[in-house]
Amino acid sequence: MTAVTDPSQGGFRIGMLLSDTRYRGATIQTIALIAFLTAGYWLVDNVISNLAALGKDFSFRFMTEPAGYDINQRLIEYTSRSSHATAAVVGILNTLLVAVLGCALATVIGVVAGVLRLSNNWIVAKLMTVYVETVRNIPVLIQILLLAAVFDEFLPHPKQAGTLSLFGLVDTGVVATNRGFYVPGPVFHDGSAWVVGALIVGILLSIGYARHARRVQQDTGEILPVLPVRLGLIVGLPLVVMLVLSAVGAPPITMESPVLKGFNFQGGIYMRNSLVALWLALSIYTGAFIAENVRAGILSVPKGQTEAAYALGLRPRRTMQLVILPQAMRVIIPPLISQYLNLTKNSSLAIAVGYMDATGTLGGITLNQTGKEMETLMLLMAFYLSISLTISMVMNLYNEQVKLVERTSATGFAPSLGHLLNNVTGPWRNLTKGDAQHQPLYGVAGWLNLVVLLYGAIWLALLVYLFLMDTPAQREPYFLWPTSRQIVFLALTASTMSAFLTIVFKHFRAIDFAALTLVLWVAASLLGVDLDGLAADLPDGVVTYGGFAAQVAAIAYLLFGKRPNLTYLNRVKEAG
Amino acid sequence: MSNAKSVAFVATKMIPPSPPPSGSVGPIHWAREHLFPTPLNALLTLVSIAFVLWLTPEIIRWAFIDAVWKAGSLAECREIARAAGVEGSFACWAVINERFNQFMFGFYPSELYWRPILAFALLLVALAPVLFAHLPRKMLIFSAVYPFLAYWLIWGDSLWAPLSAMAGFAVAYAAFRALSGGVVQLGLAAAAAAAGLAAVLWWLFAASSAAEAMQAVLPLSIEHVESAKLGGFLLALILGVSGIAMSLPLGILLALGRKSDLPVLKGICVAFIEFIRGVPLITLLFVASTLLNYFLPPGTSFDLILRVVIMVTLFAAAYMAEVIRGGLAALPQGQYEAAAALGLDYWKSMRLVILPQALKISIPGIVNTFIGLFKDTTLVSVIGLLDPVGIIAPMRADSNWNGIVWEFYGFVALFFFIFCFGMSRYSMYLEGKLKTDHR
Repeated sequence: MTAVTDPSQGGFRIGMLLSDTRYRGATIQTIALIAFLTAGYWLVDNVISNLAALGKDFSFRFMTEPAGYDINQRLIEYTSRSSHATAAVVGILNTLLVAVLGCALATVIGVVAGVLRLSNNWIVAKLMTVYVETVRNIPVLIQILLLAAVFDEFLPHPKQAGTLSLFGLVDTGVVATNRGFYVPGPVFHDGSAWVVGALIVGILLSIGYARHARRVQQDTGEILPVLPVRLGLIVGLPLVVMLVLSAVGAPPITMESPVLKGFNFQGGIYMRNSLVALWLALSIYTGAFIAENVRAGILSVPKGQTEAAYALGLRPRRTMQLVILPQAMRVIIPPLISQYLNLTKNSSLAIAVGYMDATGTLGGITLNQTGKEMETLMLLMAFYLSISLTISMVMNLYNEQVKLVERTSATGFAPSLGHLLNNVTGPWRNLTKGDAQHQPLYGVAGWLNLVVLLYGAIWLALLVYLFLMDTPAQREPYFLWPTSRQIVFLALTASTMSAFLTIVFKHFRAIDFAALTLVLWVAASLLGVDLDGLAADLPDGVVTYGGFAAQVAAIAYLLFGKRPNLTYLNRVKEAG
Repeated sequence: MSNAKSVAFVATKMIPPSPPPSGSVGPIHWAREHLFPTPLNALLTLVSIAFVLWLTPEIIRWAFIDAVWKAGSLAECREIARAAGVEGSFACWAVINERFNQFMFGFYPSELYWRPILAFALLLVALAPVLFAHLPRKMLIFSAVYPFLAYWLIWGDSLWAPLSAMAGFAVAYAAFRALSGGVVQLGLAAAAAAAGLAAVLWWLFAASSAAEAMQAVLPLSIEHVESAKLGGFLLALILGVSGIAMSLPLGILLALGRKSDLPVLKGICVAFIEFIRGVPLITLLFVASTLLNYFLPPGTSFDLILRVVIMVTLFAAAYMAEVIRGGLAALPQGQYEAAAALGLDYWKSMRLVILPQALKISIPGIVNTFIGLFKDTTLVSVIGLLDPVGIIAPMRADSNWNGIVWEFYGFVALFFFIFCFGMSRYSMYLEGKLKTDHR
């Protein structure tokens, strides 16, 4: 504004760099950039001279050396002769284990507490308020340590321990001892593959049935029973297969209960006290925050919505299901996801109770044994950062999908390969959600399923390849690769993940990420990444060239497919 | 009117309203509405009442009636309880009684306890004008001096060190006055930048020698206490209060940077905020304890507590920035435009128009961040500082008290609960006081 009204002062003076709004921004930014670069240079220079003074070098080669310590709770094969990299992977999987368990339990606790806090029942609402206010105002570390200490001190020794029961009525088969919890676990025998296969078929059939029911409702208005049929397909089918197999021969899946043998229980699933304490404490703590989010979400839907739904003649259950919940979810889900993220980050407190998560292995014992503070902490932070950036990407995609379509939308030009359509296929019209011609497809549409599967499979294979790097008999460990190859491989993984997520959320960026993935795929194979190793059982060349061809086909479909149903590409051809 | 009086069937006086039916008022109705509206709710109510009736007496019995307050060890506690005829579990508060000073001060020399106590009392004085607007504004001067005073009281040593550090601000102020209107006429931003530079130069080159010179002339010092001796709630409060005091201004600057339309500045702020928010605090504390010295010129080393304060502040500032950004985004665009239309420059419009409103909107979020920061100070126990949580481990390992769990954690949890709950109540009070809309 000032720039317009300022009278022109003729020539340029040096003082105008600060006083003239046309130049001030550039001046400030230049100064900031110089200061930032100087500070960065100063820090890096200090690091180099400090490392030199201590006689240390900066390299990740130590990750391939034997770790030499034991990890007592693990999901994959690990011995003390395995490398530090494998120890880190064990730790990462332990972090993910407690995060997934914690998120599930915290959601249950949070939803129940949030709904009950709104309940008309005075005493129940007050009790839930007490729970939320107490738990939220006490540091989670104290809660974790308290639970762990209580388990260690007050649970019985295995010799005296019996199974827990619910109110003396139902025997849960769980044994709680001061050495850990023993939970009955399934044992898979021959023929269990049939049951698993039946489960997968059941899930696929139920998805197909749901889509069929939706189409019938769209076309005729008739509402088919969805929930019982889907449940029947998912639960019933494997159950029938199992009963048939049991009738013919031995049961394919049995439950194994922990049995006291010598000084300890054997059999079933073993969970250390530290894991259970961490899991419960994190769930109770995060549950209190989720309860508040759920409450806020439900309160955010105005009462008029309920009344309007009643006025339309909807019954209370369908009002909740079709009117209230969809609107409340839009408010609940973003903070819910950031609570999940908080839980995952808080799981790093595992180190206080001796549960070997990523912080305990990589940032704990590996750091202390190798003295590589810089490298281990960088890897550790990179791990947490990649999780949280992934989650915030999911959140952004979700927000973009559910946000209300406003009268004016952002007009900024977002360059995308999707614009190629305009040149290749002639004028198309963008459809928005309110458009009459917009027909939302439920779930992911037709061929797009295959595209999602393709990128999901590649992403999974890349992650497994990256993380199970401790099989040097088959290939060179990741940390011994040349830097360029390492970087391209990481970029390929990130890009595949982005393609996968954007397609799942039907975002127009899918095309760009798919194209980037293709380029990186070629670059990785040129740089000598053994892409065939992604699926070592297949013959040579199948993965490298097959993957290339499949990606080209996927991109072609995204660009030219009839209606891929991405938000951006959801368009119709203009008549004439 | 007159007609009404003359006709017999028209009532001449109002019939008093009859009371509502007895079923729809009073405690019975309330109970029916709020406790037993449906069979399921009735069941829930009964279960809840049973739970409360069972738990409350049990807790009171455990914590007060059967508790042992004075004993030398857990075994002694048990003897006393048995002699008093207690069956079942009971609280052995004797351990808190015996270790109370450690919980409060860590290993601070006991003859110097008056110093942290005085510092705490002065903290309340310094906080009062910040928290309650109706106190005289002159008291804020003491609040501004307080950090230096508290540092001197707690760590001791020469008074001239904090004084010369404080002098840095005086130098900056003098430079600002001289450059922005006194001697030379520079723009406000340039004068502020130059003043900041002057202060930094003072701290880097002149402060320590000035302090030493003054100390030589007029020795004013009290006994020095090492950082390693600080612990307990004293440490938690030091970390919490300094983190809270510094993270708010830093968070505001970061939020403004993130909202700014200068791409370089914005990029730096976004990268900083997203990085800090993406990693757990514990990894940053590891950086503070093992890695920070690598980033400084060889040979320098500074206090672990100071390093932790820096990390905790940076951590909280990133979250604070997001909260304030939310507040900034919630303001209607018209406020920005109106400020510009009044001819206010960027800093004036921020200071007078935008920030007061944005900060008011974000009060709940800001206080939540404060509460989170205060709770997060317990994490320093993982890197070996003896905060209230860290000091429990050696106590539990003590053979006299081996086997005590609930008392330790319950006591510390109660302390944190009181502070955090108090903060959240204060934020509600503040929200109510600053509310200007008429609903």
